[in-house]
Formats: sequence, C-alpha cells, structure tokens
Amino acid sequence: MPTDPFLTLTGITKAFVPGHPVLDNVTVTVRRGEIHAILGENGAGKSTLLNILFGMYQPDMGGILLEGREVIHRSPADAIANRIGMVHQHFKLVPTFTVAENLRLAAPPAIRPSLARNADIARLADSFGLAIDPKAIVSTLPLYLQQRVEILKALINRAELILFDEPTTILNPAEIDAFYKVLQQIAAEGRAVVVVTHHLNEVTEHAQHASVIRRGQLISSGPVAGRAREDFVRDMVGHEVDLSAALDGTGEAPGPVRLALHNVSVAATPSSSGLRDTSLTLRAGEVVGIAGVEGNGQRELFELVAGTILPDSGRVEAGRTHADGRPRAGLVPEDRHQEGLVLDLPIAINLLLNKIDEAPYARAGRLNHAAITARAEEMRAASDVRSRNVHVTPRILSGGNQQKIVLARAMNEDADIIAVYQPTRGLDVAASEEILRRLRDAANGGRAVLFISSNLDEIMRISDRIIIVYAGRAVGELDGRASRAEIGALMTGGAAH
Amino acid sequence: MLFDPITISLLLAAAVRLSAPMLLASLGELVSERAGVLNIGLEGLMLFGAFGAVLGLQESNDPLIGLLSGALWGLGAAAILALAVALLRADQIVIGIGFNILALGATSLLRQVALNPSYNAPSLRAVSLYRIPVLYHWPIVGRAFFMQSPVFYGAVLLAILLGLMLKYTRLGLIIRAVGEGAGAADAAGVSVTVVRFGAMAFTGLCAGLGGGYLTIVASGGVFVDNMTAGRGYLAVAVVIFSRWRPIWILAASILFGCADALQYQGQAIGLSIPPPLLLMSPFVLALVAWVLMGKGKTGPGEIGLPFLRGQK
Repeated sequence: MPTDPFLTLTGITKAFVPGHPVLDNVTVTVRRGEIHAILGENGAGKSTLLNILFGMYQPDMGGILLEGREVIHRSPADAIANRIGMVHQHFKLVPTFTVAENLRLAAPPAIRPSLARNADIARLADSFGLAIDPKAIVSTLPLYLQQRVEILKALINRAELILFDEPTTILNPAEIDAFYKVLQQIAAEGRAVVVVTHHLNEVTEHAQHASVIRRGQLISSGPVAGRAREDFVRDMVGHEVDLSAALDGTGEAPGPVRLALHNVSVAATPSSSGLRDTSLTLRAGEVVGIAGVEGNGQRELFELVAGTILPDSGRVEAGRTHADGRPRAGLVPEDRHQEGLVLDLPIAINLLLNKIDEAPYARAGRLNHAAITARAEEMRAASDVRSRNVHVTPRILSGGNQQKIVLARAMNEDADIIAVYQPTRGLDVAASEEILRRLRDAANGGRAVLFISSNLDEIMRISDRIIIVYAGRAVGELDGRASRAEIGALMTGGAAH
Repeated sequence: MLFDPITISLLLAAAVRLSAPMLLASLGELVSERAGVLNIGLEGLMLFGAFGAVLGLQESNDPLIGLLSGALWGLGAAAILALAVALLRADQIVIGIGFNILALGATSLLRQVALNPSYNAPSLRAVSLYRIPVLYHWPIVGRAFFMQSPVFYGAVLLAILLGLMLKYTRLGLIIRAVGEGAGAADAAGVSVTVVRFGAMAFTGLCAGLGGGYLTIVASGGVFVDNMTAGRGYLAVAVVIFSRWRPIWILAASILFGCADALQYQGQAIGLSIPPPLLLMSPFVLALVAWVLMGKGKTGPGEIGLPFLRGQK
C-alpha cells in the first residue's frame, strides 16, 4: 500500500572537487510508515546525501520536494523547521549536561514550556516508549541511551522524518535489535525513517525500502521484500561477491605447532572475565578462530600472544621469540587508531614501525629514509594501499586502507604467527573481503593465524578450527564446518550437543 | 599587636578593597570560560580599562563617567580580541598573550600622549565609599564589607545574578552549552560565534570596570604604566581556583585580596615575613590554581578550542 511520497530528493548532484561528483543525479523517495535504508560502501556518497537533505551542504543541482512543494535547506535550522530530525553518527549532545538540559537546549520556543519540569520530560519520554532519567548526566549513560536521547530530541521537536547516519556501529547485537524495534514503532506511527548503513543484515531484516548507492550513483531503489542479500551486495560492490562462501585452506594437514598456551590464567577486570586455565595450540598452515561474546577473555588472549601481558600462571610457548622472550608474531590489534597506527606519522614509518630500529632502516641511530621509502613503496603496492604516496599520514585514509597498512606490517614481521583481533570492524564489504582473503592466503602459505573476532560469520568462513571462549575458558573446540547453532550454544555457556 | 581586632579589621578591609578589581575581572572571565574561551587577554583588557577610566575622568572631571569610560574601553578592546578569537578562530592563548603585550605598550604610549601628568582629581568619594547604614558598625567585618565602594557592592550583586543566570535561565543554558559542547549547541541552532563574541564583550566590560576601579577608586585617579601588575592573570587563576562558580569567585577574590593586602600592610602590622615573599604570595596561590586545572574535570569541556562546524 504505497502512500504518497513524504519527501523526494530529485536529481541531486554534488561535487566537492569540480569534475569528481560525490553524488551524480540521485533521486530517492521517502514515504511515511517506512524504514528506508540507504546502503553503500564507505565513500559511496550516502552520508553526503543525508547531509544535503539536512541542510549541511547545498547540492550543485537538484532539489528537495516536501509533500509536493519545493523546499530549500540552507542550514540544519531550515530542515528542523520542516520537521526533519537527524541522529548524527557522532552525537550532538553536551556531554556534561543532563538529559533534560540537552532536550531543552534543542527545543524550539513553542515546545520549551512543555519541557519545563523534569517530570514532564520523563512522562513525554514514556509516551514515546523511550523511558529515560531526565536527571542523568549524558556522558555517564551507555551509548545506546545517549542515542535514545538523540531520538527523543527529534521526536520531541515533532520531526516527521528522522535521519540516522550509521546508527548501529556503536551498538551490540541485542541493542541493535532493540534499536530497530524503536524505529518500527516510529514508522508505524506514520513518520518516515531513513537509515544510512553498510550493514546488510539490518537492511534485509528491518527495512521496508532500500536504495543502494555506489560511487555517487543510485544503483537501485525499491522494496526490500523479494530481494536477496546477494542482490544488495552486487549493487553495492559492482560485482558478484559471495559473502557466505568458505575461504578454503590448502587441504593439507596442518604443520608443526607454532604457538602453545599451557593452562594460562589472567586475572579478571571489570570489563572482562580474564582467562582461566586455558590451553590452545596453533599450527602452521591453519586459521584458528576464537569465537565468543566480547569480554570473555579475547583481549587477554591477544595480549598474551602480543607479549604485552604475562600470564599469572601457565606458560606461553612460541616457536620463535624476540630477545626479551615475547612471542614473535605479526599483530593486528583491535583498535587501529589507538593501537594499530600512529595516525599522524607517515605511512612509510607506520609500515615499518616494527623494524624501524634495524638495518637497513636505521644505522647507528640514524634513520635511512631512502631505504624506508623504498621498502614502504613495495609494501604499499603489494597491499594495495590507496594513497598518493607513503609520505602522507594514515589519518586521511579510509578505514579499509588504514587496516591494510596494519596488516601489511603484520605480514612483514619475521614471524610464523599472525594474530588478529576484530580485523574487519568498521570496514565495508570490499575491504573486509580483501583482509580475510589475505589472512587465508597467509595461512595457506604456511603461517599460523589466530583469528579473534566477534563476527561469527567471518569466523565460520575462514577458520579451520573454531575455539569458543566463555567466562575466560576455552569451552569447546569445533571443526571449521560447525553449524551456527552449535557455536552459538557454546558462546552463551551451554553444552555443545 | 598582630591579632588585635582593629588590625584584623583594617587588614580585612584592605583585602576586600583590593579584591574588587579581581572580582570584576574574574566574573567577566567566568562568562568567557563558560562559553569555551580561555581569555588570557584579561590583563590587557584591565589595563585598557584602567587607562580609559583616567582619560574619562580627566575629560569630564566626573569619577562616574571615568568608571563608565573604563568599562567602555574594556568593551572596545574586547571587541578586537573577540574578532580574532571568536570570529577568525585564532589560537586563544597566543592571541591573548600577544594582546597583553600590545596593551602594555599601547597604554604606556597613550598615557604620554593623552594624559595630563599634573591633573588634580576632584573628590572621588561618590564612587569610592558608601557606608551601608547600621551594618557598618559591626565589629571587624563591618568595616570590611559594609564600608566599601558602591562598585564593590555592585560586583557582589553581579556575582549572585550571574550564578542565577547560568543556572536557571535559557541564556545561561546556551552559554554553558557553547562551552561544553559547541557542536551540540550549533545543531540546536545556536550561533556559537555570536555567543562567544557576546561573552567576550561582557568580559571586556567587566575587566574594563575592574581596571577603572584600580585607577579611580584604589589609586586616586592616577594611571601608572603596567598598573594592573599581573592582576588580570591572577583573575584567570581565581576563576579556576573557584571551579567556575560565581559565589566561590567572590570568596577566592577576597582570599587573593588578602594576599595582595599583606604585601602592602604586612610590615606595618609587624609580620616578620620578608616582603618579597609576601609580594610573591598571590602568584603562588595562582600557580596552585593552574596546577589544579589539570586535576579533575570540572571546567568547561571545550575551553580553549575554536569551533569549526563539520569537525569531529
């Protein structure tokens, strides 16, 4: 039962650099009562489209039709006046203010009297089904509640269309489900909802309408019903990608043991269970996936392999070690901005950070920039890092290219072991696929790969063996072809069969 | 001798008297900082105010017009500072320090050009002393708090009003939002530039009046080069010391005033502390305040940061 369009973006074209349009003649129609997903790879232009709709940028060509009449959004204030609300990826909240103060700050004059008392705000929030404590300081709230404040802001300001820019990157799976329940309700009350995302599952499970943008062009726009995941992937990436295909090993039996953990224990912290009497082995030529709900000892496991912590009891044995006894391993840490890269040093230095004090890159304490640049250029070409040269900083690169630098450095380490922790977090489909393929290739070439991730799909595709951690213990080991149900049961503490 | 009631009463009276310029400048600074601007140029603003007040006094022979002129000179100077900081988004610290050096040179030059060195000031009593009936008879504190310049009473009232304004009004909410999360304020349709400009203009008005107090009320209408002598910097410290709360600023200003008074009166009342140490004491207090700034997170979240839309 398609209703009349609430809003239409017609023929939007925008180029920040002349001749290189970020958006090229994009037309999208939004209806009341629907969750409309805008899908695309990183850099496809979907956020720019949202920002144009919200008045943060002006289109070079094209316009906005709101219930049939043409409107111009020169600033966010114009969009808000036209009953459009936006929940930005980085929240627009004053962190030290209470929930109530934030809502009052954002309210237009006509609505302010209804927010005068905290009790009024609590009642209003309840009426939307979004209960919250008006007196809570925003920075002390978990992210999903901060997001709730943003949604409330839009609802209280009587938005008829609410825009969400990558709303789920900060949420865990349970929170994501709850989030979409709220969106369904908002849409069911006759409002329109637009969600920009690159997560396919969310689109197929929760959205009614989807528009796919690739390199600034609208590839498809229509109802989600009747379309398969693969169709969306093809539209996003431009060619067929099988997101469920296994990344196969060589088929040969794994080689000698490269890393062994013997009954290691690490003390628990408030955010993690630590490790308790855990053992595992890692052999040449295999990928061992570590599956588990976050905080069940994954970080400690990674840090033991990295040598940044020592076990309270038990032993870590590696085939090759550094002079100080740390295992020799190529490392891809969880947080590439904090742990993986020095964002403001050149790519060349980042690529060779683990070898920067060795010949030929340094001699007698002096850096040999010619040697560094030469080797870094080789590595950049081999890893397909898309940057102008190796002298620019990683800060200006996309997440995918940043991660390729981290991975290239890990591969360049003189080590038999590669340990990766959430290697594809925040990356789009194409970049994720490339990272996974390189890791599989490394194993097929004889290295031992420890693959720690919270993304079960990935683990199931790439792993030869899967070890499930729960409450700091390895509670089960399954074959790489194990079913999702088997793994899931172990992840939540249930028995294997 | 040291602890008899009369000595204490006199010392306290001098402390409160000397605290007024600092109180005014700190209250002005408070508004800037709450709006996210670390206004180091306070020293220069006071200096311009001090000069402007004497100029106004000499032109009009009226101390009230002198004070008004001081406030307006502060406002004018602040407008220049705000142009660089709020509008052009220059580095607040660098511009502030440069501005203070400029103020020192400019007022010194202007004094030679525009002020009459042999000027005889009229009676300044109208702006320098008002006894609050009955209360000023109170032992010890009567002289200190109820025999002061009307400007001091005004400053106390201002402290209370600012406290209420920041806490209970929409204007206060907006000023705090701009200092704590400029991006959120911008998204709510508040012009960060206008709020910061306005806050800095208010700071100029207050600091200018504080400078005027220094020349007209505390020094008998005479302007001397560099006569603020670091009080602007101390006022910045007072704000931090007070944890950005107006009522505490009142208390901290008097504390700093005590340190100030001691350096003049310490020897007279028989304190055996060497004068250079007393001279140093306000600055030691200030240093403590600056160190405290690094501790705890109670200051405005985005203080010192220029706001550019679209930056994360």
